[in-house]
Amino acid sequence: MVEQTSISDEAVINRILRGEKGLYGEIIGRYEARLLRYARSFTRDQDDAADVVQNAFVKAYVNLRSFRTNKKFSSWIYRIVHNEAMNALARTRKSVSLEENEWATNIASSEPSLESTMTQTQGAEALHACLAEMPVHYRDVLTLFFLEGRPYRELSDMLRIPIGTVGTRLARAKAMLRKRFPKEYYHLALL
Amino acid sequence: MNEQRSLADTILGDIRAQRIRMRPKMYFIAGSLLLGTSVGLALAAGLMSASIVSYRLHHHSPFGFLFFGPVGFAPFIAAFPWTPIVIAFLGIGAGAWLLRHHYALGYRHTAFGIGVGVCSLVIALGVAFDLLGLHQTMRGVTPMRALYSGHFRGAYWLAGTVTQARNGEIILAEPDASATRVLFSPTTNIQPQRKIERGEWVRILGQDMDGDFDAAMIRHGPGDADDVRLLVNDPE
Repeated sequence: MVEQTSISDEAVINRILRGEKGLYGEIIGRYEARLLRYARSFTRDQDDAADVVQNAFVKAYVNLRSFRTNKKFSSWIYRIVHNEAMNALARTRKSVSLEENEWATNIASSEPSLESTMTQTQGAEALHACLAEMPVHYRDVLTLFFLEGRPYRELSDMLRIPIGTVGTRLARAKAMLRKRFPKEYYHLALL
Repeated sequence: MNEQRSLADTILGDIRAQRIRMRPKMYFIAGSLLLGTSVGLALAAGLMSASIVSYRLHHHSPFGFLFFGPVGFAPFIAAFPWTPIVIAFLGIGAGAWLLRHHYALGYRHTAFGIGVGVCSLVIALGVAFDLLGLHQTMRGVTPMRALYSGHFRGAYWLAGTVTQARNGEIILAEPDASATRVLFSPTTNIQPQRKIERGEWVRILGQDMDGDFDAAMIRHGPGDADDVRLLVNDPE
């Protein structure tokens, strides 16, 4: 397995397509945690996120021969998870839990200069509330850009929108956050 | 870590048991061919319709009926190429939608950009198709003939090419090649000049008299007449 981790995703996919189907476990191992984190930003709870990710991995395998190995596999698999998450949202029509948005929790708890736990908790709750109110397509770009650290080009490929639209949505999402988020917690959300 | 292995183990188990299988390459090739064919057919329908609209607007010019004043509005509406325009927009819309949503790189352009691009291309090619005279071939094809011919006769109006002109009487051939005898008198309002010549395109308001037509107003052009030789067997 150590040997496989030094090989690119696309090279592993090539080997799977040539018959080494067992290597798909390597792909799952590389992506499961981050895809769960991404799916979690859409679903109400961890179980729903796990279902989304499992369905996405199955769909990815079934359609693996449509993947062009000269493209980035990460953009492709994130796109599949995005679609599965949208389907899950449409089916359940549930909103994001206010309690477990990992980005908001991490941001709120990472500030070393905060003097009290109360401020951290209040900041996290405020951020959770703002994100929950945000339309999905703005929450999407914020999560991928800040949580996953994806550049604009990859966001364009994942979300299947023009690069210009990525920039526009990010700017609007940050403006929305700035408008609704209490000023005393701006530094928590890196605004 | 155990949870990580269990998801991988679950999926790998399904793969080994062949409960989930990869779709064959041919599935995706067929999909691409279907997409290409669909886009091609949609754009072809748009292009053909755009060429028909171009042909009928400059050749038969329904706007000419408006010179008759308010009474010319109904024949203008009847002669205007509504059906080809609708088909053109449906074809352009379907082609642009397929490109935007199903072509691999369609998302890199805005819907507006793709729509404008496809629309411009189809309209430009449609007009070029018409101006290059390629419509001559298409007019002979049965389903296309009706679209090229259009509708040029109503209860009180008529338009077509003059195939014979005599005192008080002209024989008019409509674009669908049917012929009508039109009677006129010194009191008939003929604009802009009274002389009517063989081979010109005219519009007529009046009254249908059991096959013949009694003209109250006749107007020359605008519009291009159909070739008289194609309408009648007349050595003149």
